[in-house]
Amino acid sequence: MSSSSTTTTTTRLLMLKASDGVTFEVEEAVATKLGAINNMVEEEGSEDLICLPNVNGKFLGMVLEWCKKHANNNTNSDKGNDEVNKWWDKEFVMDLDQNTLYHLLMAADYLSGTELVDLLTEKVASMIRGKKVEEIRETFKIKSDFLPGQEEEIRKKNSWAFE
Amino acid sequence: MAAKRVKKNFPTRSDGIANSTRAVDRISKLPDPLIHHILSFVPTIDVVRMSILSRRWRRVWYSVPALHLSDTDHMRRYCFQREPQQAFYKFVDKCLKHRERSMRYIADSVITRFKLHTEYHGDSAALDNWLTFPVRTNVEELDLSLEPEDFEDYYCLPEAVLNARSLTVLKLDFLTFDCSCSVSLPSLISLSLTEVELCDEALHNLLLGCPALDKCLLSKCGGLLNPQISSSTLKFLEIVGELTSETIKVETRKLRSFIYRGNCVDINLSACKAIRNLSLSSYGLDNQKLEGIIFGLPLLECFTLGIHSRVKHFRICGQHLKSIRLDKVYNKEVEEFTIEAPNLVSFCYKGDAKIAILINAQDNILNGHIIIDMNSPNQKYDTKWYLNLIIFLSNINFSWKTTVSLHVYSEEVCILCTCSTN
Repeated sequence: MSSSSTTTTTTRLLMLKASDGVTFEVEEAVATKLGAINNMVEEEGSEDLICLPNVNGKFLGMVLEWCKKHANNNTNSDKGNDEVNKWWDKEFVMDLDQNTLYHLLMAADYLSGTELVDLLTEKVASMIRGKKVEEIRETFKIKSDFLPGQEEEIRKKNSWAFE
Repeated sequence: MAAKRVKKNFPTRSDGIANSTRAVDRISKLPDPLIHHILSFVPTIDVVRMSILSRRWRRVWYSVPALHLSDTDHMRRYCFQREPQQAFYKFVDKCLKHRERSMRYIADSVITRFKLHTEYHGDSAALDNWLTFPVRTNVEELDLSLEPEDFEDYYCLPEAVLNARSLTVLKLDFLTFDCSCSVSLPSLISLSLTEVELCDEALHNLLLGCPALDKCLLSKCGGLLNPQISSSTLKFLEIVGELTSETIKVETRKLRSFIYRGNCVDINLSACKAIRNLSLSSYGLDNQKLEGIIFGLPLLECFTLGIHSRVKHFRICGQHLKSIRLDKVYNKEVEEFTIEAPNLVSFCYKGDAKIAILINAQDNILNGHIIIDMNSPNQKYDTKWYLNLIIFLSNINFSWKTTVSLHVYSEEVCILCTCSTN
């Protein structure tokens, strides 16, 4: 989607360093799927080592795995590939536990991976849609910190949504 | 090739963390913009109800940038309600009032997407009132589906919506608008009309008011007779399920892709020299009209032809043609297709074997995909059918990378399948 198309021919490699020191060697065309990295490459140009102090290696690895898949498939964009990508995305988010989902979403957001953020937020939304409040509390382990009677008060005040 | 772990300086503890924190509330710790993003994919009724989760969530719904108001979401949640429609109306009324009031004191309370799907019971005053909301709040994407209880009585879209300057995406299902309306949608990029009742003038007038339009879909729209589609910016046009028009004239210089499925007998694309992708399926078009259309498109790359009983001998020529697809040709008489396309890389055919396909581009073809099937399970696999199949296959050049699939209703046919391809 970005300006990466002009640089794919030279397959330049970038080194990405995560918060825990783990480093990844990645093709520029793959890494620039992430808006933040694309900006750094465009602004700083020759910098080959990029430090990412806010992302842990485990999650950076997962984000890059997603980027790799989507950068490869972007080169020949026909309908069949779109389907393959969708299927792959579905598998990618299928069995993520909430801890991973949280860190992955924070990482994708920090790195401005817009499409990945969309995929992950939609996954979380699918865990909310159509659920009762109690079920949502249970799913996400949300504890009510309202004072006694306060929840009832809100229910009454917004009775039009709870009838 | 890609993400490769090179070295590991410190052992990662993240796996251990994952196990020990499984029961922790993560979602409440997300920053507001991400929570708003997540909830913009959730029906508004669920979002409002989340206000009683905890203090963190109490006011979140005031800042979610999308409203999804759909009576079917409510029916599922109010299954024991006596008057579900009234409960939905009350919900929408209250919800819009609260959101509008909140916009005065919550800085990030903006609405960019507004979706309203409900059955229309003739209560146009309430709808008119609701629709002033997305116009006043400068909504960018508007999605309205108002299927009438009684199909005679469509909701008529208020003029204000057709003058919402901030709209970039407009999707209208099951309604109508006055053809004398003034239209000014300067930011509109994508327009989709499904089962909208409109006449030729109304469509023409609408398109004139969209000077930035890129994409337009008309699906099952009733009331068009001889529509003329004019736009100086439109690149993608799709007209499907169209049964009333006799002729269609498209005058959009920049059009790149045109898809048509319907009944009309004449499509005039003579002004659309930039078309790369064309997909046609019409019972009304004959040989001559079809060949004329294709002949007039010098840049055509992908061509798909659907069911067409009036075509007998058809010739497709094109210097730039890369991909041709012929779909479901079930005819009583033998037909002949001649394809002359020196740069063809992909050819697909799906239909019966009573046809001769002659391709003048064999050496360059990369991929051929042929599916032979039948349109009815009652058809017999008699000698004639086998003969047709043999003749059909003898015309195919198997030096291409070609796959032939036989879709049959009876297993006995498979025996022949192996014999003939050898």
